[in-house]
Amino acid sequence: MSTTTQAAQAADPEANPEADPESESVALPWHHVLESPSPEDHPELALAQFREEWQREVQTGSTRPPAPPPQPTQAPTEAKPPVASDPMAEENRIFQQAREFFLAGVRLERHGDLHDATHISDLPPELVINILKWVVTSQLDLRSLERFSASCRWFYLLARSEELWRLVCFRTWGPLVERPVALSWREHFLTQPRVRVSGCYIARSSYTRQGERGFQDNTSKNTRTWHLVRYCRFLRFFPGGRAAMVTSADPPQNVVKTLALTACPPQGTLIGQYKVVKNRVYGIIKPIKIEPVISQLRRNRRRGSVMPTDLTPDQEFHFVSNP
Amino acid sequence: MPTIKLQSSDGEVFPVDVEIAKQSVTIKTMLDDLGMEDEEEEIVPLPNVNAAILKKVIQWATYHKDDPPAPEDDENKEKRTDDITSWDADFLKVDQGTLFELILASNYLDIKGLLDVTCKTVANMIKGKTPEEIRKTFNIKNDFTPSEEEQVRKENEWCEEK
Repeated sequence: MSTTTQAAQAADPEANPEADPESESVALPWHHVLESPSPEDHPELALAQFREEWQREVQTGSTRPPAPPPQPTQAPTEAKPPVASDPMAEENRIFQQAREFFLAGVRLERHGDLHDATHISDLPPELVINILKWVVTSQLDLRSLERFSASCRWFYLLARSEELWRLVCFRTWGPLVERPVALSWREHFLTQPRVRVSGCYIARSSYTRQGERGFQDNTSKNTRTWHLVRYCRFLRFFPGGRAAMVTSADPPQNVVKTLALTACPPQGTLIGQYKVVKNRVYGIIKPIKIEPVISQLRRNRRRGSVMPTDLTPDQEFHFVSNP
Repeated sequence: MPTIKLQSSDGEVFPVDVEIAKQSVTIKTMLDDLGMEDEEEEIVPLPNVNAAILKKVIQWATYHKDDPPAPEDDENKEKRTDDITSWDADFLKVDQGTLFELILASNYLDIKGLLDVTCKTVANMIKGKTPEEIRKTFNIKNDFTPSEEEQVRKENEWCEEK
């Protein structure tokens, strides 16, 4: 017994929504025939027939046949008015609104206030890719490229184009760069070991230095002055195999901003080359001799500045990263 | 100085010095190949460029008539977007629709200098912006489904880490 009532309950909610459409099947085609005797009502009729058949099946299948019949008699009285009047009114309203918008648009266009402005999506793909090459530039601004890809589907496709990512690989590893056939250029770029070119590598260092004894220190033999000198070594890699290094005690955020090849680099910047071979970075960094730097140095020395005197060290630095 | 007449898509005719017009490789090739240079009355129809845009293009080409020819595109060449001259920057203070039409026109007319500077200007509008800011800037609808958006976010995660 419990299973049959369950079946009936299960059948009921299915029967209920079917009750309304059945009344619809009577009401709707009639309306359409009045409005426009077009082939449009055929699918409606077919659908109505299908619904009728389906409901009959549901009724015969359920153990409680009397349940559905009262519904059709109840439902039509409630459902009929909205079904009968709403689509027409709604359709008319939408039509009127569309007409008004259209006419307003025509008016604006005639006055020259509105014209079909060219949108970025009107550009052919090769021109958007050309723009994206300018987004990436020699500085490899890949964050901007990746963010652009997240704005919409079309831009996602363009920002993932092989042409762009081949250029990125070319700028990162040089013209001889090759990739496994199974990978896209972007996948190749993301899976290969590479140095990051969007910022600086910073190593903090410190050392202690014995201070000079002033005459006051002589009073007490037990005190000695020691200086704790903290500084940072900044190493920045650029696309295309160039690198710059500088040692500075200035706040890192200031140095990071100015350590670049193009703008005026901080005092004592050393320029060199690097190469990534397998998992290691090899590099040679040499001092650059620029007159203004030296004169600046002398001036600082004369003023008795606390700047370390070896701002532009003469030695070459050879470095290899740990594997 | 010989001039030629350029006709915009909406029928307006602009007389232009041949040397200025020849900054367009399209026009230059046409004149060189067809030997149209001698015929003063010849009108060159440009069906893809309307009068307003053609006027801007001629204005740009007139200002840049003494520039050395733009070098061929070289992937090794240093490319940067912060070197737009102040004249060009002022010239390109236009609405986005005009900017994109200038890109289309300079591409069609093959004027590399103008194409580069207009593309750089758009690139600068993209650089440093979040996806939402890019959508706002260019009036773009986000048509990713939530799951697609999440997928793209994961794919792009690598470049967001500090």
